[in-house]
Amino acid sequence: MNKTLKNPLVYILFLLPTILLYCLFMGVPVIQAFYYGFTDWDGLNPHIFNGLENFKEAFSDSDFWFSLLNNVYFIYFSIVIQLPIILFLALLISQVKRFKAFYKTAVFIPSILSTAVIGILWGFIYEPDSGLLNQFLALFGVEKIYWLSDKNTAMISILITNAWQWTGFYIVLILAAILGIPKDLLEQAEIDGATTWKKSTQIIIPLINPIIIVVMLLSIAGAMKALDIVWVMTEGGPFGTTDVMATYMIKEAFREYQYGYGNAIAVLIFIFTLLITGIFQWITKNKERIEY
Amino acid sequence: MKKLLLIVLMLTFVSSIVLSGCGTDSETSTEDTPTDTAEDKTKDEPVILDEADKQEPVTLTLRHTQIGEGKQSRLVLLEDAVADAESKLEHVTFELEAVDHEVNRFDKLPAEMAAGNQPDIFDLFGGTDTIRYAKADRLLPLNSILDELGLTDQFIELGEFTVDGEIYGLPIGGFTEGYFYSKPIFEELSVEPPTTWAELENIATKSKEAGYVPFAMAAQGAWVPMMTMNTLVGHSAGPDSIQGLIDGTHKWTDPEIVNAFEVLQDFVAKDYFKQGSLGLDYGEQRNQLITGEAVMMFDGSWTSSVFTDPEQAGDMLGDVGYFGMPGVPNGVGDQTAVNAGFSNGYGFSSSIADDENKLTAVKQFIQSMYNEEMQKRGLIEDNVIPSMKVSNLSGVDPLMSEIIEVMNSAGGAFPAIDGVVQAEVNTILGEGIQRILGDDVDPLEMLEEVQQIQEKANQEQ
Repeated sequence: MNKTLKNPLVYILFLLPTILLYCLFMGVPVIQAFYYGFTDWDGLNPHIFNGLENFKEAFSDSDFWFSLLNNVYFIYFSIVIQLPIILFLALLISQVKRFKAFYKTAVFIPSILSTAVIGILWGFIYEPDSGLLNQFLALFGVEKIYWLSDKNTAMISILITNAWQWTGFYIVLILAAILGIPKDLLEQAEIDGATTWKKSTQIIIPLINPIIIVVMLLSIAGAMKALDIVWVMTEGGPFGTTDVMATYMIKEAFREYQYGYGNAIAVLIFIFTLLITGIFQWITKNKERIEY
Repeated sequence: MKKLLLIVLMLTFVSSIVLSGCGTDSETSTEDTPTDTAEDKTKDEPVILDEADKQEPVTLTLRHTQIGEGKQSRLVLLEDAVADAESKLEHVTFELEAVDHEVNRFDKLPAEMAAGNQPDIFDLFGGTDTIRYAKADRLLPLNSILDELGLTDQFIELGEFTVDGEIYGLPIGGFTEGYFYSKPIFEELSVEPPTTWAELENIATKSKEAGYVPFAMAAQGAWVPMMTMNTLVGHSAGPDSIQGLIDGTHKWTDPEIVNAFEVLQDFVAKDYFKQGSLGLDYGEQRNQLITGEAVMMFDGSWTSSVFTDPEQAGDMLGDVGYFGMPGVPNGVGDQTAVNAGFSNGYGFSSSIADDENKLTAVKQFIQSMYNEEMQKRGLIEDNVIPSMKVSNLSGVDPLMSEIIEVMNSAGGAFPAIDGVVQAEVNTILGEGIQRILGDDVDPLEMLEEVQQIQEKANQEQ
């Protein structure tokens, strides 16, 4: 039996079904997207190879660049605004003595809800006439804001909703890392007179740095492929101002029947995501890693 | 020896997975889609099916868009037609699948058409949609079937579903577009349905002064405000202008067309629409009229069923009237012309042609769905203008009578823009109209961009 388990062929055998499924549902579509990205195809009639035309069109398409910019907003919001909140809340919950499990569950709930539910839920909150947010702001004399239909507020409204959905998931990740730090280490710091602020900034955060980097990576990858929340809340509207690359791809492919161009955009999303995550990993890989 | 045993085991394992996969497949196809068997038989032995074969169970997928309260009456009609077809062909089952109208038209059906796995029967739009799918051989030609069923001359107009002389779809009803209005508010404001543009403007001004929203609007879907624009263009530039955009005889930048868009811009500047309308879904538009928030609403005749249903209309039951859009100042052509057509109905998958059993079921469905009784019921119960010749029009709802009256007195008709222009033009135009509603663009600047896309699309055609 032991000899059998030492044979790599056994492992390959067990992995084979998964590998086959992965290739079928991940590998083949990606290859197909690359292939059709180089064609002029309306989805119905035979496709015609047109070289780099779709990619040239994308690079000179201001709407595509605009949608990319919205993806960058997603990244910016995740890293600069959402991450500090995640860290703060995770540190806060880690210090709580009672009902810790309740807080963990409470913050995690949004991430198990479907995006459609969240989109509708926040649609009610943002409703201009009777929505919770406007009613609350009205208490302070703030005039009615048309959150999802005003081009100045639609994007930030989506970003807040998206952050609300995923903050809990990342908090739980970071919380697990914080709770994994040996207690004696923190007790020693307390004996040495470290305040909560110093403990957090000089001991806890440096120690959980690898997890923070993972959270940042997941945020970047999630931001680059953002689609569902935008589609459910605004469908890219008003007039395309909240379009991200994926919604723009859908519109080009399915609404305008430019499947070739849509595939080219899909390829560009793939390449841009690889590039950005690659650059991020390269920047963070040389950071000093503190072991305990 | 052990190695050999291991290899044999591996081979057995992998081949059993593959074989079991194949086994299930063929089993499923026998049980779930017995028609495949018949189809295979027909392919192998091209002989006429005997009675036993004909009685084999057949299942047809039927995609409809009758979702929500507003389409409840239409759903009942469809279910009755299906029940009738199933009672006449006991071995046939229609599997109904409800999909939102926009999702079906713009996302799901195009994707299925691309993959070639469209449902057997599906909600279909005439015009560009039908042309596109017919040219890719995805639709079942219906000329011979209609001849066989004696229905060829029974339809009022099949032009939007006809491509190169072949009919590919059957409209369930007709439509026209105009203004629905609140009779109590009109009474309160002491105004009558307008016959001139100045009168319409006067009502809008009075409505606003009285604290009402003059025109209901829910523009999250670009096609909703496009209805208003459609008639504005038809009146301002003439009934032939819309087709002329494709033929190249008219341009989006023609002064008359620009004028139509400036009217919309003027409405926005005067706050005639509800603020935040760009974030509102289509259903919200009629709610604005029903709740008494708005005074008038430009919409299609299909909406009238909402105002005659006690549950949906509430206090507004019987209190909604209808008038056609008055002629715009300096408009070209007959200013009583209306946007009207027979553009929505059912299409059938071309794959049905290869399956005699399904073809029989489709013929029965057409007979059960498209007959004088169902058309009359559509008119009475669902307020849909018949697409077929109906001899007796008695018992029609008063609101529907007003709509039919406007249609009858119209000096002509023009088609829906989104059924005529190419998809890419439709997208940029829809976005442009939304930008006007959001006060984000100058109409001429926007139309210059639309014209560029139009010319490119015309060249590629």
